[in-house]
Amino acid sequence: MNSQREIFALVNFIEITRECRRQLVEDVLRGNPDLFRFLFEDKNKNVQSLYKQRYELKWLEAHWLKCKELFDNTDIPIATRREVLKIFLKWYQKFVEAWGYESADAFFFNAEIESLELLIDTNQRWTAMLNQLEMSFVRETKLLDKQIEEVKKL
Amino acid sequence: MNLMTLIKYVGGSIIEMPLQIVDRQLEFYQQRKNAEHAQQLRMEEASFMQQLDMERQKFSAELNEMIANNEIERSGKVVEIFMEYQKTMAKCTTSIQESLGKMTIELRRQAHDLMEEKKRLYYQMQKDATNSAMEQLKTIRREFPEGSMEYQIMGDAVRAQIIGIVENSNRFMKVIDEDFARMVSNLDTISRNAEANANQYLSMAFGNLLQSKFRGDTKLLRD
Repeated sequence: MNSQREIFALVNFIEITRECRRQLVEDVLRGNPDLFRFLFEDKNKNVQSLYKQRYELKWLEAHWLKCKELFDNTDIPIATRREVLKIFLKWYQKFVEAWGYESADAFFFNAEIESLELLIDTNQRWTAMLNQLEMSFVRETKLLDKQIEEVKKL
Repeated sequence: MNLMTLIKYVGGSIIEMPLQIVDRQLEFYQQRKNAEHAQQLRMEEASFMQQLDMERQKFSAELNEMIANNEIERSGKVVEIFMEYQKTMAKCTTSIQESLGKMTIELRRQAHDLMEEKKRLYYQMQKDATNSAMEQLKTIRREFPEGSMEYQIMGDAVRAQIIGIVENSNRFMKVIDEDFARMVSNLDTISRNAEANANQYLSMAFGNLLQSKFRGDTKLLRD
C-alpha cells in the first residue's frame, strides 16, 4: 500500500474521530434533546432507550458521513479515494463492533434511525392521547363532585 | 583504316559471318542464361513463398494455441473469481439479512413494549377513574335517599361517566391497535427498502471488484 495514502487516510480519520468526540462533549454540555430526554426527562425505560439508541446511531453514522464528505472532495485522486475507503472500512467495522453492533448493522443505521423516529413519534402521539384522556377523567370526576355538592345544598 | 574495315573491304563477308554466328550464339547463350536465372529466381521465389506460407501457418498455429491457452487460463480465472464473488456475496447477504432480521425483531419488540406500556398506563388510569366513580356512587347512596329524584339524577350522571370511561377505553384501544399495525407495516417497509439498498450497494461494490479483477487488478480483492 502506498504509505502516503495511508498517512493521508490516518490523519483524516484522526481528525474525523476528534470532531465527533468534540460533538459528543458539546451535546452533553449543551443538552442535546435526545441525550437530555435519555438522561433526565422520560422515566420510562423503554422510551429512554429509544432516545439513547437514536443519539448513538446518529453519532456513529456521523463518522461515516464525515468520511463520505472526504471522498466527495473531487480534488482527491480516485486511486487515493479507493485506498482511503478500504482503510476506513476496516477501521469503521472494528469501531462499530466495539460499540456492541455487528459490522453489517452499519448498512442499516439510517433505516434504524428512521424506524426509531417512527417509534418515538407514535409514542409521543399515544402519550398526548393518554394525557388528554387523563385530563378528561379528572375533569369529569371534578364536575360530578361539584354537581353532587350542589345537589346536596338543595 | 583499321583491320576490320580492311577485311570487310576485301571480302569481309567470309569473316563477318562467323562473327555474326558467334554473336548469335553469344546472344542465345545469354538468353538461355537469363532464362535459367529467371527460372532459378522463380523457383527461389516459389520456395521462399512456400517457406513463408509455412512459417505463417506455423506462427498462426502457435498464436491460436497461445490464445487458446490464455482463454483457458482466463476462463479458469473467471470461474474462480465468480466462485469467490458468489461466496463473498452469499456471506455478506446472509450477515446483512441476519442483521436486518435482528433489527426488525428488536424494533417490533420495542414497538410492542411501547404499546403494552401505554395500555398498562391506560388501564391504571381507567381503574382510578372507575374507582372514583364507584366512590361517587357510594356518596350518592349515602347522601340521597334511594328512589329520590336527586338519587336518580346523580346515579344517572355517574353511570354516564362510567359509560364514557368504557367508550374512551374502546376508542383508545382501537387507536392504539391501528397505530401499532401501521407502525409495524412502516417498519417492514423501511426494512425492505434498507435490504434493497444494501443489496444494490453490494452488487455495485462487488461489480466494481469483479471489474477490477478482470482488469488484472487482483490486489484489491486480496486486500
